[in-house]
Amino acid sequence: MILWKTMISGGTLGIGRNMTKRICVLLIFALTALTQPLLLAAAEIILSSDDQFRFATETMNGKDYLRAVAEFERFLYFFPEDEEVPKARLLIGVCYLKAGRFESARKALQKAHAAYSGTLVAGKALFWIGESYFRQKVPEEAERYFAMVIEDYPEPELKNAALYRLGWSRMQSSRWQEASETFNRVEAQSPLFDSSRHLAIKSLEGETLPYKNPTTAGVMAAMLPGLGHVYCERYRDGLVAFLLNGLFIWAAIEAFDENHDVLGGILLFVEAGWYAGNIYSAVNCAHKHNRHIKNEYLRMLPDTLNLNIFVTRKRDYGLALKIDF
Amino acid sequence: MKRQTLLFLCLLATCTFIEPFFSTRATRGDESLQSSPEDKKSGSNFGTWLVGFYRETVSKVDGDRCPSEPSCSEYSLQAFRKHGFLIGWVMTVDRLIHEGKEETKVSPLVHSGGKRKIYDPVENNDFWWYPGDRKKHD
Repeated sequence: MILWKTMISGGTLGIGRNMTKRICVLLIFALTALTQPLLLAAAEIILSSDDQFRFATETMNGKDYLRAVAEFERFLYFFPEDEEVPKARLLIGVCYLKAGRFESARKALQKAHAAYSGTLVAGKALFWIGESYFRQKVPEEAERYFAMVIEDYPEPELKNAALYRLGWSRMQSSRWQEASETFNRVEAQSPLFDSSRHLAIKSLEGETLPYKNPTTAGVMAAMLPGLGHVYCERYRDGLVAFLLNGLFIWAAIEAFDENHDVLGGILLFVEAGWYAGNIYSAVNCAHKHNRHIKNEYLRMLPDTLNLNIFVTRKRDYGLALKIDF
Repeated sequence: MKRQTLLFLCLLATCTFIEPFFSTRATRGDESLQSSPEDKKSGSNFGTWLVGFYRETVSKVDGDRCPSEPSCSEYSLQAFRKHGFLIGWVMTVDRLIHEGKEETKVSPLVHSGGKRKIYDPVENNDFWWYPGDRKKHD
């Protein structure tokens, strides 16, 4: 009002120029007053459930898995009634799994399984629990979960994926024949069919890999320290085992010959450890050799199951399978 | 003298064989073993004492020369704690025999303390008879 009065009573001298200035000031005030609510509105964040879910998914796609878990948790907290909640629960488990936190992944997936028992979501949770054991190289547990999926969830894609992974788990545990039979059970309409047929043949070749027999290694080491290592193609280790055992036996014999019976006894006692250790070491070398041979063979086989479950923006809960050529 | 020696050997053997029954280690399939790493640390025996003595005296002078990770004494300590004196001893001997370059064929290399070392923990050497607690830990 005061401003208005001042402007009206602008005086006679230079009224045009002063008036223009005052109008400008007035306009600036008016503009400021009008735009302020807009600016305030711009500072607010209105986040929809879709936005939050998309952000969490993008964080996961960017391989920042633990941050993605936090974002999915935020989604669950703010939008507990959203239809994407089951998917978010599963994705928390998947993110933990991809981050290598297998135990946390299983806890999250068990929760999802319990919350949606009897639904397809529960089936997928079971599948991912099995996958966590498979990646952790605990095939016995993985097999148990994949078998449960196959038995309880007849949905074709999920069942075929579980069959495929069950075959892989059986190869991991060196049950080559059973693995081949499992791969042969994958249905013809599945995108995994061709790969399964190929693996059914290749898995049988697993039985003919150049393994070392641990019993033979142990017996040879017992007959002559170091010989078991030679059988396992570890010549330097064999020499070490032979020399250590030889030296202790020789020292013990010398001690007894010189009538140092207590010293001889101690040396013999220590030698017993070297001798037992030499046998254990030969058997251990054979097992490690076999594990290495098997892992290398499995590594060369193509695993075409690329699981992108639930990471698409589609509302359905399909099992996305991608075949890599 | 022979009798004394025999007596000494018998005593040593007896101590060795009865030790596992008195040690605090858990046996295979025992849930307490799989519960937490802290439980395992409580298992102490003659072997852990020997390794402790070695680390306090010899190792301090001798320095770190082990090409593997964990170091041989640490490995030995873990083996004694996990499997008791008898098996721990045998596994320690196994480690001393196989710690050379030939192990790189079957075990991965890792960087530790600015050096490339062979990653060879206890689980790498008992996996074929002691499936143990793989599934419990991340």
